[in-house]
Amino acid sequence: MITLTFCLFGALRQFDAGAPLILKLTEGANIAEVQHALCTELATRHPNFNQQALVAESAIANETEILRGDYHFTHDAQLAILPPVCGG
Amino acid sequence: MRPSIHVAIRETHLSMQEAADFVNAPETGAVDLFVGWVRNHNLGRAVTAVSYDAFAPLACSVFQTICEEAIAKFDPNLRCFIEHFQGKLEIGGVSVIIAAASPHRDAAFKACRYMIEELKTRAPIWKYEHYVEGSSEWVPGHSLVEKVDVA
Repeated sequence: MITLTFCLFGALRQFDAGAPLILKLTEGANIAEVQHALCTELATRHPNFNQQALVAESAIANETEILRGDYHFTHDAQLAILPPVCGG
Repeated sequence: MRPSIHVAIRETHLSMQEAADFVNAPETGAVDLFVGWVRNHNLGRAVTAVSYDAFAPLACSVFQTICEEAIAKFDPNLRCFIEHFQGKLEIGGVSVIIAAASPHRDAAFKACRYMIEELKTRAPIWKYEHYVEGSSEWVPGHSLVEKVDVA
């Protein structure tokens, strides 16, 4: 198993309850599986959670790069989930 | 040798003078400055303030990449500055400053435009608008999800 720790941003930040979100997943999980696990965890924490489409539109990143869609998670990591952006 | 790129996410006031001072150099005859500030309306709604959220480490990495791209595309002698605010700003507050300086105006104009347009679609920054009637909403944006071709 691997441990992925997420910080939430933008419209998803309201669901972090002031603390990072931690997922335990099988080594080799891909982006889609992580997004699914995130939605499951958020729905567990927040029974009225209805932002599954926003999670699907959100990128997963570390502090230096956005992870490609074909990325596989093989070790513990500190990550961020990034909803669609609109700076400026 | 002075660095030619400066990038930052700040929770304090952004300064146009600091931007101009950074890109200023004896060989740069043209300086183009873009300043974004909070306006009092958006999509027909009266806005009182905007809160900016940012993933600062990655945002600075993206800013750095955008500056390097601008230098490669427009002028190897370009000097680039990008700062973005994080936190809450009232109407008229400065949210972003971009400066590009070059020996010639064409490269400075093009680079400045390039940097703001790329920032808006690539930097992990979000706006939370506060409206006159008391409500607030996150502004929709550009997805950073990279589409992967399926053979």
